Amino acid sequence: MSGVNAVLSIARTALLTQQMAIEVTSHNVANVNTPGYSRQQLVMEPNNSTTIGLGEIGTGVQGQAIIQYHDKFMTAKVNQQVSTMTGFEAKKSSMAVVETLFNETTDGGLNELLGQFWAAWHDLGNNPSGKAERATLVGRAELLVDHLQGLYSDLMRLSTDMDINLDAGIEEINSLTGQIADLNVQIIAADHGVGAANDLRDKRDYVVQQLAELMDINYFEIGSGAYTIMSNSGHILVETDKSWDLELNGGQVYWISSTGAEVEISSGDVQGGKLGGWLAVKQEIIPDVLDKVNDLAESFIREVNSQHSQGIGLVPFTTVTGAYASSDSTEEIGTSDSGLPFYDVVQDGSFNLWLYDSNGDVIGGAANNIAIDADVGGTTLDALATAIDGISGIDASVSGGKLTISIDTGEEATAVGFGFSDDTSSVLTALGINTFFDGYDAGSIAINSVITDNTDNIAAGTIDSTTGDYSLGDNENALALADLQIQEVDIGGQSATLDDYYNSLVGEIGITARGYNSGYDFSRNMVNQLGQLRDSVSGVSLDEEMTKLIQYQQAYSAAAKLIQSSDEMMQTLLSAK
Amino acid sequence: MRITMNNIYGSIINNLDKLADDMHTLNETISSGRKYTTLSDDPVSLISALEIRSIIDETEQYERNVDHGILWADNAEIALRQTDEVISRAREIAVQMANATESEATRASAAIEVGHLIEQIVALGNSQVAGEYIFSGQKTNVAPFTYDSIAGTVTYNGDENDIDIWVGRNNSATINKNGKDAFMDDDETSNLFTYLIDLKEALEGNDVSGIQDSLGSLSDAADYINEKVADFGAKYNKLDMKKYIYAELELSNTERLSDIEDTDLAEAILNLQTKEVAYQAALTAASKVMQLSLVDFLR
Repeated sequence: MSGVNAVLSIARTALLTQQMAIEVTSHNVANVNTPGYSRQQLVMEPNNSTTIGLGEIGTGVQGQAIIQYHDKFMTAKVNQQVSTMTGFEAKKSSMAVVETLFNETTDGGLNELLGQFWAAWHDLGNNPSGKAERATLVGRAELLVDHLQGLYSDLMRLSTDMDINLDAGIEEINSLTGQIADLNVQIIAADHGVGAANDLRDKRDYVVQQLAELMDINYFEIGSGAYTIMSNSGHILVETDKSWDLELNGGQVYWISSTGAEVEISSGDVQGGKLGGWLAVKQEIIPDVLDKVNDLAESFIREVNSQHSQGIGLVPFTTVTGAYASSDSTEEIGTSDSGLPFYDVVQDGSFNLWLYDSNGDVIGGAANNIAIDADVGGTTLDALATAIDGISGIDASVSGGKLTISIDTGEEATAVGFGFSDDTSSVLTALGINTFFDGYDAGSIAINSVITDNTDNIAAGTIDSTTGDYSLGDNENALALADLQIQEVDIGGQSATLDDYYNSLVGEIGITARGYNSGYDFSRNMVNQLGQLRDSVSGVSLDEEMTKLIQYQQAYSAAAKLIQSSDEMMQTLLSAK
Repeated sequence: MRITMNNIYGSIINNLDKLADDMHTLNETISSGRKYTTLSDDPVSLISALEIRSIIDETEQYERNVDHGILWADNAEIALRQTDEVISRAREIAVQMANATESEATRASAAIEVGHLIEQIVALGNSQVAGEYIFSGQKTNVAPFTYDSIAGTVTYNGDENDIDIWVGRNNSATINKNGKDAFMDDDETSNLFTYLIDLKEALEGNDVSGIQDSLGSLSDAADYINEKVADFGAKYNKLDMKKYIYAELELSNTERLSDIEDTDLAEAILNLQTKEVAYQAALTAASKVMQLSLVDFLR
C-alpha cells in the first residue's frame, strides 16, 4: 500500500519510536546517579517493507529492543575485588585497634614500663633496705600489671566486638541472599524477550555487589535468567528462588543446609569480604597476639618469681600463704594433676627452711633441708605440708589448695620467724610462696598480696646458705632480679630476653598491620580502576544523553513535519475541484 | 575511553581524598614531631627505635648505679684519708712523748688525746651514706665499730661480705670494703686500733719504750691505710671512667634515636607545600570540569 496514508503511517511510527527513544534517554538522565544502574538504549530497526511494482518500499521505523550496556565479566571482576578490599578493610580496622594497644611510638608503652620495672630493681640494689625504693618498685610493678591486664581485656573486648560485627553481618547476608532469590523470581517472570528486565537485573547486580562486600562469592546466571550464588568454599547461598542462611552460634559461623544440618564456616572457608576479615581477626589475629602476650606474661611471672623466691625480705616471715591453689593436694606437685599453673617448673631437688629465734639466731644452728621429688609417685602437696609441719616450731597446712606455713604460736613456741633459701626444686615458685607475682598469664597477673601488704617482704637479699645469716644491706637477690632484664629466658618455646620478645611482637604487629594497609590500598585502587572501566561501559554521560536527546528531538520534529506534510497533501487532494 | 559522570566525579573524589590523606599524614608528622605515629607506619624503624630506647634507659640506669658507687667509694676514701691524718697526729704525739724530758703528767694528758683520736677513727669507721654504714659489709644497719675505752677494745660488728652493683651488662663492681679489711687489715689482734690502744696504755703507764714501739707499728698502720685509700681511689677512677663513657653513649644513642624517630621539619614542610599546591590544582581542575556541561549550552 502506498499513498498519502502510507506517509502518515510512516510518520506515526517515527513519531512514536523517537518518543520512545526520548523516554529511554530520560530514564538514563534520571538514573545518572543511581548506583548499579546500566545505561540503556533503544535499538531501532526499519519496519517490514511492502512490495510494490518497483520493488520494496519502506514502511517506517520500529523499536527492536531496549538494551543494557552491561559488561558481565567486568562486573564479576569488580565484585571479586570488592570482596578482597572489604576483607582487608575489616582486618585493617581491627588491626588499627591492636596497633594502638601496642603503640610504642609514644610514652607509657609496655617496653618503657618493663624498663622501669628493671630499673626499680637496680635502685633497690643500690639501697636494699630503702622503703622508698620498695614503694617505687611496687608502684612500677602495678603499672606493668595494669598494662598487661589492659592488653588482655582490650584484646578480649575486640574479640567480642567481632561477634557483634559477625552477628550483624550474617543478618545482612541472609537478608541479601533472600532479596536475590526474590529478584530471581521477578526476573524469570518479567523476562519475555531478550534481557527485558533490565532494571531488575541492575538491582540484582547491585545486591550481589553488596553481598560481595560481605563475603567472597562465586556466581553465574543460568538459562532462565536466575543467579546461582555459592560461597568460596562451595556452599550454595542462592539457587533460583531459594536461599540458604548462615547462623552465628557461640562465636562460630555455620551454614544451614536444606536438611537443617549446621556446617561450620571457618576463616579458611570465607577469606574475603567483611565476614572473612572479621573471621580472620577473631580466629587468627587476636588469638595469635593474645597467645604471645600471655606467653610473655607467663615467662615474666615465672622468671621473676623463681628468682624472688630464692631471697629474703627485710624481716623473716611469721606466716605465708602460697599464691597458687592446687586443685588436688593429693596429687604430685610436679605433675599437671596438681592443677598448679606452674607445675612444670618443679624438678627433683630441695630447699632450705631456716627458723630464727627472738635473737635472730638460727634455731638448731642449721637449715631444715626439704627434699622434693618432682616425678609421678613423688612429693604431693599434702606430703610437703606434713613434712614441714613435722619440724618443731613451725606449722604447715593446706587450705583451699594453698599451702600456708606459719610459726608455731603454742606453748613450745621457739621460732619467731622463718625464711627460705637455695630452692633447687622450684617448688616455691610453683606454690607461689615467697614470690613477687600472683597469676599465670596477662589476664590473671597481679602482685602477690604478701608484697602489697608489706613491702618489707620484697626479697632483695639472700640467706647465707651456710650460716643462715641475712642482712639488711644484702642486695644479691635484687641484683639477680635486675639482671633478668638481659637474660634469655624460655618464652613460648623460644629463647629470648623479655624485652626482645616484646619488641619483636610489636614489630610483627606493625608489619602485619602494614601488610593489611597496603593490601587494602591496592585492592581499593583495583576496585576503583575496574569500577571506572565498568562505568565507562555502563555509566551515564549527561553530555551524551543531551546530544542524543537533541538528535531524537530533531527526528521527532521531522516526523511531526511529515504528518503536517501528509495532511497538506490530503488537503490538496480533497480540495481538488 | 568513554567518560561518564561516574568516571568524572569518582576520580575527582578519589584524587582529592588521596591528597587530603597525604596532607593529613604530613601534618601529623610535623605537629607530633615524629616520623611515624602508628606501628604500621614504619615497623622496621620502630623496632630499632625501641631497642635504642631500651639501651638509653639501661645506660641511664647504669649511670645511676655508677653514681651510687662513686658516692660510696668517695666517702670511703675520704674517711680513710682522714684516718690517715689522725694516725699522723698520733705519731706526732708518740714522737714527742718518746722524748725522755716529757713528764708523766704530760704523757697522761697525751693519753687522753690519743683516746679522743681512737674515738675519731671509730667515728670515721662508722661513716654513713644515706643512713647506711659503709664499712660494715652487708650489715649496713649496724655500726661496724664499737670502742670500749674501759676494757681497751675496739670490736668489729659487721660482716665480711661485699656489696656489688651492676655497672654494665654482666659487669659488676664491688663498692665497699668491710671495716675489718679497711681498718684492721684482716687482723683482729694487731691492727690500727690495738696499736693506738697500746700507745694510749703506754702513755698512761709512762712507758717510754712502749711509746717508741708504737711509733713503728703506727707507721705500718699508716702504710696499709694508705693502701686502702689507693684501692678506693682506683675504684673511684674506674667508676668515673664508666660514667664518662655512659654519658657519651647516652648522647650518641639519643642522636641515633632522633635520626630514626624525629621528623625532618624542613623536608616535611616542603612536602606539605608541594601537596598543598597539588591539592589546589586539583580543586581548580575539578571546578573547571564540573562547570563543563552541554546542558549549559542548550537554551
